[in-house]
Amino acid sequence: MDLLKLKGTPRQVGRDFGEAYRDGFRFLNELAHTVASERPHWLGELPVLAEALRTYLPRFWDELVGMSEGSGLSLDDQLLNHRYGLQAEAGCTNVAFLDVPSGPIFGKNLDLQPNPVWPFIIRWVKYENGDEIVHTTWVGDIMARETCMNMHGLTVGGSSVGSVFQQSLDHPSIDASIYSMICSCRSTPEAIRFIQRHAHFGKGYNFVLVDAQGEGVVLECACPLVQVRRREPGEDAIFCTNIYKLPALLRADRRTPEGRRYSELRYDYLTRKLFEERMPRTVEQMQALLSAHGADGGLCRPINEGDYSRTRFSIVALPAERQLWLADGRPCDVPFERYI
Amino acid sequence: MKMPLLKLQGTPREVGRQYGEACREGFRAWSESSGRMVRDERWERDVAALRASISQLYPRFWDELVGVAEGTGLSIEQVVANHRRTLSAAYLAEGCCTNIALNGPDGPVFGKNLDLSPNPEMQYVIRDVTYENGQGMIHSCVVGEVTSRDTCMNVHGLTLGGSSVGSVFQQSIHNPPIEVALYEMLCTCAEVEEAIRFLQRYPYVGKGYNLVLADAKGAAVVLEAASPLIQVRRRAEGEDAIFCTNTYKLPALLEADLRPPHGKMYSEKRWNYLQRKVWRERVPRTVEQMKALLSAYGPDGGLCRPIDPDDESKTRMSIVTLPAKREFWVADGVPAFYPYERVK
Repeated sequence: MDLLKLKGTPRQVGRDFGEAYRDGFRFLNELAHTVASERPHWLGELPVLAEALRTYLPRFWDELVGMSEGSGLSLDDQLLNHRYGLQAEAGCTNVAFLDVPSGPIFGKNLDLQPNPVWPFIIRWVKYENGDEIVHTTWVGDIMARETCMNMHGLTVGGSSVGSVFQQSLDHPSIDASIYSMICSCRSTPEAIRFIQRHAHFGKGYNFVLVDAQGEGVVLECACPLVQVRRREPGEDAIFCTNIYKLPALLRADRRTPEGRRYSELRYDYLTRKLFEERMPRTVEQMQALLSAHGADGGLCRPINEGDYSRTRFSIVALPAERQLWLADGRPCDVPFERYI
Repeated sequence: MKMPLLKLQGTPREVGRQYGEACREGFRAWSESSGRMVRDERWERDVAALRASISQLYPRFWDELVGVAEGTGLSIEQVVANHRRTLSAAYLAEGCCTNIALNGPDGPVFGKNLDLSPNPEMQYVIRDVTYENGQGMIHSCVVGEVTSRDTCMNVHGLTLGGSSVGSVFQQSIHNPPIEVALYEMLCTCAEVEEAIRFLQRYPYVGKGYNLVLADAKGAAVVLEAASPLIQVRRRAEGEDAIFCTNTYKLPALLEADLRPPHGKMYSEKRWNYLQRKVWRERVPRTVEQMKALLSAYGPDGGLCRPIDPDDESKTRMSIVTLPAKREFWVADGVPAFYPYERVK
């Protein structure tokens, strides 16, 4: 997977990103137009989406404008790429070990359909104001929801869930807010306060959020709502799959029965491994968890023959040490390599 | 009508000052009562957070609170603490109202019963406010607060009436209070859709309400405000009425209330009574029929509390408004026994 280093103002960063991956931006835009042809309301929504981003998240908006300039896409087409990303489905797992003496350990599997066409890269961005982040994103838009760690070690990783609640396009997109949160916050409490400032537009996610001090939560973002799931007393880890676990949100997802079943399989596997078998909280064990599949369960997809999802890549991050390791494929087949 | 009718006008600060001066003793009593609820540091932190969000996001409302402080002689912290009280769990038990909007031959008709526990501590006034910018409203209000949630109609006929519900969702004290947002919505919006968009701008802190929102053109919805969420329940196509009691009805919010079982039971009784009268018996959509609905109680059911001997609530007042004609009628007591008087 490419590691793209970018620096400058948001507009410069966006322009450099767009120029470096012009073909990829156009490819994603073709996919977005194909999906939009079945959702004609999308095109009419773009001005409202733009206004919300401009109003609430102006630096994100500037980067979007820069991407449009660099890629040669019109601003509407760039916005359509962002709109497309707001509904893209995935089935990921995110885990954080919190009370490790050397610092927290974050792990994530990004799970997609068997033959996804989306190209991914890693962006390492140094903004002109001193903010610095490293994150995986698909080419054609800015994503922080997959995996993102900033210079302070604040790390986030998301799992798609969906939301049954009504939403308003007047709200900023949750994806843009998560990116802006990671760009500007240092710690988990600060990030929670940031993300709770607004109601959000988007499909609904669980996010593991952990900082360098080991404070970790799951943001259960049933858009427009953001709720916080904290670890129970005595627990030293937190994780999420594809359904909400807060009592108030137990029926707020939009998973299919099949998706729900595999979400629960992975959640139950983690509960057993972490809180019953109490496996060690080490990097090696995190990698083993992310790579496990088969009769005993696991997180690496397909977990078994009935599982239709496939792990696209796997990430382990060490927030206190600002390290990011990536297995560019199924982690049971491909080794983790250090990127940062 | 025994309840005071205050005519207030000017800038928000002048209006607040006039209100504070006119109800100084009531404000002080409410503040002392609120002060007894101050038990920990969290309350002080909450007041500071409320002060920040209100002054930043709703500067005109903040000016009115400053005016109230000047008029009453209370500190601004005490005035904000009164507002903090509306967020407390104990306050939740106080309200169990019914709100209805009908579209009839004479235009939209709004009706509301304000139901409380039998011996409520609250004193009420009717405020008829004309602001210097041409906006204005008439609303019932607890002395000690500036709120529009009970019943409020503005100069455009936009009318709001709230029923307490509660909310199971986590909230952040750093979000603006729903009560302030509702008041500002009535101060700035003319129609239902504009008001919805205004209200959906932020997530809120607050106890959670159902709010019938109706305008002079006959548009009406129920805002199911399970703070911090704002969701909108709309009439089905062809329907000419909408109403709410004390539980949410949107499928996504069916378990999001905080009503105790007894409160939920009486909420459902009133809801089912309205379903029967409005949809099956199809009572006429007239002012007279609205008053009859609000005054009904007994074996056939009704809305006027107590509905039956086991009902622990009591209707404190009943209000009927005609948004298109800007008429505001109040029965200052149980509407089965007190006449409606026109105050606007």
